[in-house]
Amino acid sequence: MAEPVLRVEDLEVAYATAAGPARAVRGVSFAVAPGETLAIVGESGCGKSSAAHAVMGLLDARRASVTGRVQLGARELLGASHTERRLVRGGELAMVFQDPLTSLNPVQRVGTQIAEQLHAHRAIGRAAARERAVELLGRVRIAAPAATVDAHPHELSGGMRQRVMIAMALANEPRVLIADEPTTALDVTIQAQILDLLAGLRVELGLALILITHDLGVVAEIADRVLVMYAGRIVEAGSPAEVFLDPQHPYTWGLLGAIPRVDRPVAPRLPAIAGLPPSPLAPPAGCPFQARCPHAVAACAELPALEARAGALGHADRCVLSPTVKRARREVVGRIGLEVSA
Amino acid sequence: MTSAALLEAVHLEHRYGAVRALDDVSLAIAPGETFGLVGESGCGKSTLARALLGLLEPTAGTVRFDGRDIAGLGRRARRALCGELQIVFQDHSGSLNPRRRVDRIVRDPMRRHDPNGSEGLEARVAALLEQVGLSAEQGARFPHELSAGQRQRVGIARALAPAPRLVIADEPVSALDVSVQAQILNLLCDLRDELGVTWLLIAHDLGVVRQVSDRIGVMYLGKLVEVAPTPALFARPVHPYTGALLDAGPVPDPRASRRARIVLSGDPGDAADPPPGCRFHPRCPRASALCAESEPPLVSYGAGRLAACHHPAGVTPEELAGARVAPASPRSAGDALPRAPYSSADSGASSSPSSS
Repeated sequence: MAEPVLRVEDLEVAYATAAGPARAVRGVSFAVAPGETLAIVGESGCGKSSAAHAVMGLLDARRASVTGRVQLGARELLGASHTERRLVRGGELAMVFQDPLTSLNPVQRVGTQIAEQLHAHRAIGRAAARERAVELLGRVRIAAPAATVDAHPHELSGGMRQRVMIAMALANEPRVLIADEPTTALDVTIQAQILDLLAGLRVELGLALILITHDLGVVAEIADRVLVMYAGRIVEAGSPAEVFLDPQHPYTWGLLGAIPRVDRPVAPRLPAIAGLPPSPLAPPAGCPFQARCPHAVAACAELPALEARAGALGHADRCVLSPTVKRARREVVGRIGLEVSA
Repeated sequence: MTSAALLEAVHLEHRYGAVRALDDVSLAIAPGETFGLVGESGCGKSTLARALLGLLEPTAGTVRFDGRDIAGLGRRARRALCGELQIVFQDHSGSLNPRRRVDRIVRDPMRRHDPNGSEGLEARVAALLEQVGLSAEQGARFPHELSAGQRQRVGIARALAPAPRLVIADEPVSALDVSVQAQILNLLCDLRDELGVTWLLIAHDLGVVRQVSDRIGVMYLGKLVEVAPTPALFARPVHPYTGALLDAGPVPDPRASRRARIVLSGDPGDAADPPPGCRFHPRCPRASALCAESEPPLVSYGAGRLAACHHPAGVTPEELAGARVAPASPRSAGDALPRAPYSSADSGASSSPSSS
């Protein structure tokens, strides 16, 4: 694998609230290489978006404390000056947001908005910027880029708007693209088109793609590596094949089991996860999932390290149960695709 | 079947200005069944729900509940209908009064529609809350003190409070996380089995609809394009749009995603200016010249399977021979039966039970 372009180590994010610090992200580490797609999955409040915003430098320092290390190439971004961060943001490090309608300016033509990205990062004339905007719209497979460049966002469909968002993010040839729920607001047939586009661009441009999503189907579709987050921590990491076909952490089992799947026979009851995630104001020491975990033991009170099992190179999880116990317990959960040979 | 329907839409049409949100939709829901309605945003499924509830007056067509036309009802009859026909909304926060405690939210509709008045009301409220999985202690709280899943349970309890005969659930789980969504879907299944209420479940997620529905209808750009019993719809979809919907939803299986998928090109199109002929034809992999000219009628292939397509898939030659235009077919459609399936290989492959 190529040398990672972005390394995040021991990232911690805490928001200041009236009730004390809300610890949204607790000790998250990961790295992405050019051409690689890293997916971060989890349910609302697990800290996946907070982690992405912290990496981008979008959190207000007065309200959120961010610690750890975020290295882009050889540069450390946490603690860098405002000017430096602004140059990186939208330059080497770009982001696509979930809702294109509220992220785009409704009273500006989309070409103007793409050009704004260009002007912020380089000396470029108006005509050249417009030309580049048309080129970018073509790159995100918009059928009539020369006409679309003069359109206002409301004239475009949801899928087209998301393509415009991606074109804006690509304007300054980023090395890392963070896509936060890029297809969640879109219909399923349009979602498939956008996923195809992102997968294609990653190869064409050698992008390192970080995909933040709650949709495990989307992850299976395009990710090279998956991080499963729960209550601010990574609980399992591996390739989609490892995480989906041989899941090790009980939370991952629960997540996979709860999906009503169209590719499986209908189960009379979906195995739901009982209870609620812990409050970020008072996160538990030890395994974050222990309170809801039907398999919890006394040893869960201490947080296991995110370590790869013997024989599994990149497949790591934070669960104290032994692999044999897990295998037996997982069968009970059922329905989770485990046809993987031992 | 049609005469015994609990809720029936007959040639329903609704326009918002130039936009034809509903175009000649006919639908019958039998007592006790759970009918699922799927489609992408803008296909008209929420407009249909509002028309069925009498919340909007359709520009044309009739809605009948238990044989009565709901359009001409007086105030008193209209209010009585509210007790029989209820809705669960998608937005669990916005649809609950933030200043009322949960038990009060549930108690009011129960009292209003109950002939027994307030007799034993508290006990019945507590029993209903328990049935949807809420404790008495949670009943004493305000909506904002509950989690998203618990709030949706309150929304369901409120809808069930007047003991309705039919409940329309419009995207009841789409705002919820997957683990909570599973809890609510299980609850809907339990209630379906315990209460004998008829459900109309509207959702964009095929997996969700499949989990609870006996029959499923698929909408596209204001039209009903396919109706079938749930197992048949998934095993042998007739309309290419249904096939594409089944195909487009990513599944959490890295092996499955490597299969060749049919990715539909283009957008669903504009309901203000729908394409002529079959509305799906500009995006359809099976479209022919005929599809651009004539709108396919809704055709019955037997066993409750209906589809509006000139080139049906998933039907056997015998089913095709026995096909007839459904009585619920749009008035605007021609009366031509579909031609032979698109290709013999296609029909051969799909006519065998695809349980492999």
